[in-house]
Amino acid sequence: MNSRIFLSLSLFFLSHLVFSQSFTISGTVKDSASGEALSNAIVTTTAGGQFIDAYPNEYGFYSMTVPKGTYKIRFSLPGYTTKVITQAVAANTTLNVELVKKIKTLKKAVVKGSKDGEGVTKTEMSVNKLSIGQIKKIPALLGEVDVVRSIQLLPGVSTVGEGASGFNVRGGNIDQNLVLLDEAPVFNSSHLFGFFSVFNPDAVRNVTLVKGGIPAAYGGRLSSVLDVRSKEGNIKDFSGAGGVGAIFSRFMIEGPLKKNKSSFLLAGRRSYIDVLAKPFLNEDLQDAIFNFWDVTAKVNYVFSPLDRVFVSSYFGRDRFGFPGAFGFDWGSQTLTARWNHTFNTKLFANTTAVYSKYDYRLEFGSGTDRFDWNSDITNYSAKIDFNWFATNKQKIDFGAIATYYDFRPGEAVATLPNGTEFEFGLPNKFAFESGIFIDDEFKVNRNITLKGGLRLSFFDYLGKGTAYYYGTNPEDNLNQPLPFDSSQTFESLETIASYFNPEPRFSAKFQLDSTSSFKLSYNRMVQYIHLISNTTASVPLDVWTPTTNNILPEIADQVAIGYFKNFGKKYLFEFSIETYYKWLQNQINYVDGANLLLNEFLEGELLYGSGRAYGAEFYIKKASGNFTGWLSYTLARTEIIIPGLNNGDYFPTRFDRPHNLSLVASYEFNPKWSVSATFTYQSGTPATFPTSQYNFQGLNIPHNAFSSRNDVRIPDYHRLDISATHQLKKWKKWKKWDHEIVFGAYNVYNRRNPFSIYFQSPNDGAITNQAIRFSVIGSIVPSITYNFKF
Amino acid sequence: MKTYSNTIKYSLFSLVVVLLATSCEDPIEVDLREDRQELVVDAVITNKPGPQEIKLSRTIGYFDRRGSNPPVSGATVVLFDADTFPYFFTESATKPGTYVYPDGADFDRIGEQYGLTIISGSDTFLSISTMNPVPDFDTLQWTFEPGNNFVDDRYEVEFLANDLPGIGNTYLFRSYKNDTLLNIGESINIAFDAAFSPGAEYDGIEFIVPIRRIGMNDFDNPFQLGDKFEAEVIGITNEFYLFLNLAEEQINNGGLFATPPANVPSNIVNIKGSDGARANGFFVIGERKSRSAVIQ
Repeated sequence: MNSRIFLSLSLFFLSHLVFSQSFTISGTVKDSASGEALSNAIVTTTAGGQFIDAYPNEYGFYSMTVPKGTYKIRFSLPGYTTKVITQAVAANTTLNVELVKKIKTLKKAVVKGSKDGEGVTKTEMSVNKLSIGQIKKIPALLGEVDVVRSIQLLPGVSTVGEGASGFNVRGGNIDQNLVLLDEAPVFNSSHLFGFFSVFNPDAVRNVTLVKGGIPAAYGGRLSSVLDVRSKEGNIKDFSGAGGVGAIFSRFMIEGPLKKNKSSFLLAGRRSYIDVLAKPFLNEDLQDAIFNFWDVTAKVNYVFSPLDRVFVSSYFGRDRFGFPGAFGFDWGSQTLTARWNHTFNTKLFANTTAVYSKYDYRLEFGSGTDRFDWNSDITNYSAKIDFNWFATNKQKIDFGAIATYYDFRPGEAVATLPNGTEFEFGLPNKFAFESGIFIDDEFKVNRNITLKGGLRLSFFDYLGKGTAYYYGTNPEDNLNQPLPFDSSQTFESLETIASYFNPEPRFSAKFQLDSTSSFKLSYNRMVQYIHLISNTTASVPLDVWTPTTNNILPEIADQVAIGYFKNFGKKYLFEFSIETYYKWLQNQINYVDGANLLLNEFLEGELLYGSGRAYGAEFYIKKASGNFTGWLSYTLARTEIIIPGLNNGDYFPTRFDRPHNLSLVASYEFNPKWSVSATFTYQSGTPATFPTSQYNFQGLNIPHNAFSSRNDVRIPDYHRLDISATHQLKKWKKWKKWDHEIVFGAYNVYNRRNPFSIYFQSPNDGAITNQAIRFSVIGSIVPSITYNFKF
Repeated sequence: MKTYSNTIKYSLFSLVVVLLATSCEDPIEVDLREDRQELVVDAVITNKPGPQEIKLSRTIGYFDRRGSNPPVSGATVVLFDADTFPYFFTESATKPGTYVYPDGADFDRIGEQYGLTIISGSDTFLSISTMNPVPDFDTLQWTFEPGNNFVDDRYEVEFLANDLPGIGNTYLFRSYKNDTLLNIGESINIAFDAAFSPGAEYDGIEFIVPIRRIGMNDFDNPFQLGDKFEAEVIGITNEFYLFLNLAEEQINNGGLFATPPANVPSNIVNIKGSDGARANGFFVIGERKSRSAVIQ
């Protein structure tokens, strides 16, 4: 480990010496209209016959080093007019560039791809980026554009079904995705169970999903990083957007607080299904509370050309219930403060402080016969990231992160009819997680780029608390709670259990020719917090728990190789094929009948095993032109082996989907009309079916003669969605007002895709048991939405 | 707590789907793997005076006609107390597969272990259970509840009793209306100490409302004036508590928040070990107490 760091450091100093005669061109790349950072732009030039490319970071900062001379520097980004600037360089030079968005005109714009688009030239692999523009083209359920539902159409991503929260990446559970909103972790990204996600599309700038070759700056989850960045807020002019749909209404406004100095963004949504549904409900249901809302807010301030501060916040809530009978609400709050500082032309730093909380509250009864229940997970985190553009050949990212967790697994108050209050629940759990990381990207020559990284992660399960110790179960009877052995109490901040893991990361790119490359990567990820859930779909009631003296950190090792190619007339098509293999350790499962809520002895009802996931992902994308879209196909398996389950053999996980195909297509007929369609096909999810039944004390109990797990599959899932967007005529009085109407239909051919098949013995006198197909969406869902922006 | 959260999960999701009006449930045909006609033992024994029964049958295919489980005749069924004194259960002449001992009052060694031996064909099965004690019912009471859109006017019955001191007592409660056992859906009224599940401190206190009241009433078949209400409690082992909990979960499993289906574990062991045929079902012996009153 140490030799690796030493190597990186010495390479760094060496390269610094060699290029010390050169000068640096650095600056930011931004959108000319809004001032938003354009992090996906590419900056290129040629120096002494040598091609040099640079990629801005998330805040638009880029840096490249050249000898004294005059250069033509090209700034390009699909959807924007390429800018070429001729710059004489005799000293370190700051070059801030604004790119102009291409506007739709009646004349057909010239469409051009690039043969060396970033998919081919960048070292990163297993990364999918979606701009909010692309996401908005995808036909949406009930016309509501949604970030998480959109990424489910990408290769390697699946879900257990409609209405299930979260998403599964390359065979990982939903808690194995690090979901970041402006660098704050989001512990539950769902509204209305899983139908919608918490990200307001009007406030989102872009979305990056990293499935493999994960940079060392990220850690703490096994499967992926979903990095959602909100807009910075238009620093030049006021603008806004919004919409009215069947489920909710949205409004977003952004603008300068002080032109070119400071800006803000404020976006909100509220659902009104309960209001709309009221007339159609019978009296008993009329008082039902059934809504959700969220607010995203952001301000940023440019203190000096070298310093900029961002403060952003999200809060939202889902509320359900009948007054006086029961109430249930849950939501997240995040607060992020970031400070960008440019030390010099080569060193950029971002310091982040984060507060994030997810909580739910459950109550039933009323007055003196009540039951109230609260649970939450809170974290406080600080992180510093440095981007060191050491030379044109070498870029070093390094930094450190520290997070303090406070888990409240459940606290309840029961009020008895006689008025006495009875408090019970579980005490809070505490943990501290930290990491230091470095990534060194080095261009060996024009064709080979290597990137080595290392993350050292530390985790302490802390007091104040009680640690439980358990005995073991006999080998032939593991599927039962562990016998309790002893317990020990710990003082505040005393370490109960402590873990350290080195997490090496490596990736390499071999440029085969100007239009194609071959890449490979390896990464080890370690996860210290776990979502405890044994239901088919995750529930908002599910509780996060830290790694403890009993629960071990989950570990995943992944290797991936990929081939990337741009082809076709004008290189409009991007193609990639990637294969991966993952080894998973310390995967959590549950004894039959485990009680996961308010159970002091929960850790004794968990089972652990290992897993393997492997697959191949094919992806063809056309990003520009009148016809855009992509086709993705994934062939994959995910299996786990848990001693005590399935007779000790491997079995597929609930989210094992061997075939997963998505087709996304949009066509723009003219500036007024465009249409989109998506088709998805996924193999049915694995399930366990009974084979037999028996009678015991009048109960008819289902039984599986083979004691197997997930050995059958429910029918395949497939669905077609379409939408048509009509740009409405501009108003003469207010030309700035752009508006459109979107007609959509979800599940066009009315298929009853089963979410699950369950079995029941009806009480209605029927003499045989039944298999019931449960479809969350069992019919076509039409929608109409009005969107505007100004 | 489990019951609470399952109810909540289910009602919440129902609410969502009602309001979205897009979900649907319909019966479909599926192919299942074949059944293996395993032995099923139904042996819940108490000290109630009078005949005590053990039923032996076989599993049937999941889609076979319910209740058509074939009886297992010709077995030898013997219960032993802690001094290995045998109590022979003999097969009923009229009900094949039902083995009867004439008087439960003979099983009076509360707190001690009993063993059950079943010899059927070439297989011998063993099982052990501790006979656990139960508390007295302090009183039975009822209140008139007016009807609403969902239920009719009715009397809701309730017992008052305290859990026995010490953590980990488990009980099975039953409710009889006019000497007929109420079939309260598929919800089994079991208690761990004075509440539903271990891990919460409910030791030695009065049984909570869902157990002493909600679990004793069948809202499809409510009590009315003049009905006889009998409350019964049986002391069960923690293993049988778990068995019933799992059985209930398996019977009611389904929907969006289903847990993986699992077999309900049996405490009937084939002495041949894993080479022998498997048995399902359970053997438990427990103290029983009851109290009855006429609603007036």
